[in-house]
Amino acid sequence: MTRLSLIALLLCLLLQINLAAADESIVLTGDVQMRLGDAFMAEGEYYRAVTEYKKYLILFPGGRQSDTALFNTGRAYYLGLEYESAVQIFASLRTSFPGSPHGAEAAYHEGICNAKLNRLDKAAAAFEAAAATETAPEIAPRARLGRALVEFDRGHLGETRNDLQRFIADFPADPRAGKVQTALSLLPQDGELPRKSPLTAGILSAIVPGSGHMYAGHYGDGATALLLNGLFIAGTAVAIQQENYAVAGVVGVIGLPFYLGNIYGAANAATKWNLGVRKGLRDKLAVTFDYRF
Amino acid sequence: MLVSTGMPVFGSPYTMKGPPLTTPAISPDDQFQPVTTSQNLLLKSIYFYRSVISPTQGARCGFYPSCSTFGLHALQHYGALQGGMMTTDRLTRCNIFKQPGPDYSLRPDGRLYDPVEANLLKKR
Repeated sequence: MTRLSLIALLLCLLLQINLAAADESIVLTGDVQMRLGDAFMAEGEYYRAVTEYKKYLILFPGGRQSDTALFNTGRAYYLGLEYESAVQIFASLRTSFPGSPHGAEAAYHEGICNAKLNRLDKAAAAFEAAAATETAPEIAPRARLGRALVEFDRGHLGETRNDLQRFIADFPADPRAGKVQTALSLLPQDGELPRKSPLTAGILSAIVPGSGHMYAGHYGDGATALLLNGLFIAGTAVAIQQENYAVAGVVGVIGLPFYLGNIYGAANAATKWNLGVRKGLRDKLAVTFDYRF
Repeated sequence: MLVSTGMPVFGSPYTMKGPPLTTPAISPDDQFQPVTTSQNLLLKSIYFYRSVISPTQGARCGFYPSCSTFGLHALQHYGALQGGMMTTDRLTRCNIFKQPGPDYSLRPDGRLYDPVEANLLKKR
């Protein structure tokens, strides 16, 4: 009797331990693995999220969520600012899973990553692929706007205009259609942005120091260059006039780099002016149609 | 110990948590060997200014990097001619009219950010 009770007690204890262990254990399924990646993504731990999504791809090759795991890996790289890796993952997804529902979004993100990496031609191609996808109505309008901005960065204002016109034609019900119409009116009609020639600025400053800066809209710098170079030139001229050649040489040698710097600075100012015009219009476009990446 | 020393750069906060919030620290290359005599002369004149003249009044330049650091960078990377022109251009621009705008962004310390790379005529 005592022996039986002891065996029964032992059995109960073992069973209880097993039950407790069952409560704490988990079967590693594809869903569980994906949930791990999602949890790290939600916390902003992108590096760890990449690891978990890659684990899914290793543990469940050919799994039904392989395209999602690949897409999320790319997104984790993208959010972690690892654009090069993100581009490779998104390109791989588009090649390996051409029918994936994530295809359009992958192309869109690939476009953004390429734009961040300054590969504007590839960015434009990826945005075009995303915009042409009919299965992703929420991605296509954004991709079209993305392409418009990339074409602007490439200096193709005509293409930017085309993209904005196609946006209005393809997505007339989009809430941004009116804003895009306004943005269209901001683009110069002749397809050329106003420009200051660095060569002209340099020549002007060589003739009259500071005038090239003023031509490029940098009036304060122009006035300073005029004053500084004027003093050096006047000092040298007066010293020569008084036959004090040693002083003339010293003042001239010190003044010459400032004179050359004034020419370089004028060309630099014109280049900056051109960049400022381009950047200003780009920002205005992005604000007008409420889109940026 | 092993974990801390073996932590890869790949997973560091810099690579996966976004860019640094401040502009990068810029300091001249102290190990730089001048190629030409004129480059050497100009670099030495800036070193002389930095060690003897500048400390008398402390940091006064409104730009970041300061004009002398800018000059060292320009001369080291772009030679005596272009570097010299870039330096004298910077000295001319370091005037009372400078202000934040499309050319210069304002740093938290009140100085204007104007690196050498922003003043190249090409490769923009």
